[in-house]
Amino acid sequence: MGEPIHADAILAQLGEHWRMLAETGQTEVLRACAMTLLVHTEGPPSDPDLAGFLAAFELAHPARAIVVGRLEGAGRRVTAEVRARCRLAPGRRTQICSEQIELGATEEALADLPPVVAGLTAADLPVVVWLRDPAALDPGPLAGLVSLGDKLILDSDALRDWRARLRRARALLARGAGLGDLAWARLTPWRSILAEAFHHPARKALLGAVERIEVHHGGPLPAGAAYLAAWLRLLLPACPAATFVEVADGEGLCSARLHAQGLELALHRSQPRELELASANELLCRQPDAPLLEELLAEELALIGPDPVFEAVVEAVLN
Amino acid sequence: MLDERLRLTRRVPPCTLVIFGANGDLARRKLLPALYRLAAERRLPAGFAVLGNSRTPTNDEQFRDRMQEAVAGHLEDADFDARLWEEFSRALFYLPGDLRDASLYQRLAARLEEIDRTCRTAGNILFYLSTAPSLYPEVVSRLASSGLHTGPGWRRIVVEKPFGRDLAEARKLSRLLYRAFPEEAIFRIDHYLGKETVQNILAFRFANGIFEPLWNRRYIDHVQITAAESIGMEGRGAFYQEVGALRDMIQNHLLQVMATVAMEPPAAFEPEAVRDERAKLLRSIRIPEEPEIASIAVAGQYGPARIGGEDVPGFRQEPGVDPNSPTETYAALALFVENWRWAGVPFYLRTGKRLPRRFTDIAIQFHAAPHALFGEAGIAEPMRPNLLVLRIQPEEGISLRFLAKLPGSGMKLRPVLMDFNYGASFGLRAPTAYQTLLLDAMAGDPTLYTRQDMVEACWAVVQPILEAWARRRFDFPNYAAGTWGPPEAETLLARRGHRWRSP
Repeated sequence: MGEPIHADAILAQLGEHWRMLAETGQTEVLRACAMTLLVHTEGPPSDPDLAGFLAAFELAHPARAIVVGRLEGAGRRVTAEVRARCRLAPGRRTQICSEQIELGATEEALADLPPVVAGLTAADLPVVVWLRDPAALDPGPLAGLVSLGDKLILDSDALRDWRARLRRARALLARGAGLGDLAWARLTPWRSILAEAFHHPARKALLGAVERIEVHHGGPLPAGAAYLAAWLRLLLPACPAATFVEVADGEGLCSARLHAQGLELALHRSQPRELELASANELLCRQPDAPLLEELLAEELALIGPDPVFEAVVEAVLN
Repeated sequence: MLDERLRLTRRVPPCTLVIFGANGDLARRKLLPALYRLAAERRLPAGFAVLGNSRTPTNDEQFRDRMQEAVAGHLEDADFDARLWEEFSRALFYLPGDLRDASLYQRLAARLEEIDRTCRTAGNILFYLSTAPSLYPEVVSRLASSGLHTGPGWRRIVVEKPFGRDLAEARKLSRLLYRAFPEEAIFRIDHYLGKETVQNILAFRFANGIFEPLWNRRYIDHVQITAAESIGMEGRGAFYQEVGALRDMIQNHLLQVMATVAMEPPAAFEPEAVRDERAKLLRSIRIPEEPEIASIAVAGQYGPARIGGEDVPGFRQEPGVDPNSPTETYAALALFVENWRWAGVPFYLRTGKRLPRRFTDIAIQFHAAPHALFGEAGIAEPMRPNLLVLRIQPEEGISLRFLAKLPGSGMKLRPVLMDFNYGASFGLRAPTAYQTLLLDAMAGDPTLYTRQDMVEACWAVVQPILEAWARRRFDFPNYAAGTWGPPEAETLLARRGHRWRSP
């Protein structure tokens, strides 16, 4: 049994941290915070890779990061650590700092954490919950974390049972909160290249004439493939629903083909990080694909609260 | 006349402070530490003494030792200075005795005369009732019958809340006090009004030109006043179950804070002018009627939970609490002020025990921009209206939330805070509420004390709710310790299209 942890004590510790920084630092210290980023991770909260990622990410997205993770071992044990991350502002003698609170619990003590987290969010700023570990969506000790968020971000592409998890996420969300999915953000280059293709004067008229859509994927149907199909269906209501084609040597979303009056548009991943749009073996355009994790997260964070387009897509996918 | 040539804002005359209940929690945790700090800041008059009384048979020296321990243990943000204590404690005296014993008051008179001679306190006496409220009538009557309520200097009396358990009792207590002391000598303490940040509300509103024009129904959508405590009963369960959240916090502290936020500007910063405006505002609060109480008031009681590695008992499992106690540990109200400035603006007040975090603040939410210029096509987050937060504790300060453009292409908006922090701006430790209020009472300044008409106006607001709740059977507990209260509290705001802010 470790020492109990209290939100008031953690915040006081954080306050002391800031006071010390201000007193001992050579330069002015600016406490930067535009949101609470609540991260639920499958590993320990002090994971150095995650800490490194958050440090880099917070350069552009200053936040009070609260990392909730699991501790090894048996018994009921909880831990709390606070730290500040500072960097010198470019060209200025001011340190810009953001803060991180790491909360850990053994499996048995996980249920002890949500009430503590509820007292730690930064006042009057958005709370974004990023589920690196989707276990918080399961009925159980961490379900309370999800309802704290103004936005919930998960990655359905990494989930086999993504439909069930999406349903559960929607049920757990607080009133007015938004759902975000990195699988959807990954589709942005795909959606953008298709949108651009139909802006071309020669193809504009064909938009209403699309007769058939095929979405090719490898392995079990990934969320991204289903989202793409649903999005196209919402844009082209006259067109029959997309056909999913499983390809033997592919992985995840592989390509999309649109057929319209003798024209076939084929969008596929040509390189690991590149998309190609072709028509009758003619390359129409090429665009970078597979955004990095920080790019995906940044895209989701640009829109706190519900995204009407994605909500309609999820609705279509789940029903 | 000479005072006018001094830089001091006022002169605090010499006096003896008589604390009835000097071994109690309040004296040890608040009063003596406040006096010690005043001494450290050299703000006490040259002729000053404290005479403590309680039933404990002890002498001056033992009393001083006990108070030294209390002061050293309860000084927040300051170190204990043994040399200063040595000097300060010479003015501490003790007189044991039962407050129901008539002979105590004769001994008290004799001791006060002696102290007056040795400490040169000019015959001025400030009585402080820090006892159980049930003893107030006894003490006041005995002070009057023994003639201690008058004398060569001034006589004042400080009365701690609760000022009765309801409107009728408040009036009874007032009649009793008036038999011995005139209104100007009665100092009814509400320590919230002594807090620096509550006083700063007046400065913020009336010393700045840009806020007051917005301070009305035209620009303000609603106001939320929250006093959240993360602790449970801490051994006060038996007392608390007789009181409840509505009486303990809302009837006095939060209504006074609300009055400070919503009152009209006084003609001058003078005690009666400020108190008149507060009183006027309190009388303008619509008194809820029975049929609407269910829709404007929510009661809650916490149940057990496990928080942060610790088993936390429910209210009914707290020591000294009846296992079937119907007392509320959470209360939330939607109140309306019936005047030209505030018509239709809800004032939401909430307080509770065992909430996730301790804080007290006032949040003024402005109307959203009239035209959602950036709200189309999902390019902006749901419009978060401007929010002005006056933080009373902890991290005293003021913040203003507004929307700003996210750096980069496109017009994406994000709420940001512009923050003023007391500590960071002034560097000085603010005086505690009791420091301020004790000094005010010695100086005879009642600005931050409540007046009988204000007390009665506060009771008039909560009385119908207390009566309705007394008749109702609640399904308690209805919120788990470590949560923000019962779900009905969310409904209270949702009914009017609002939600509690995330503190």
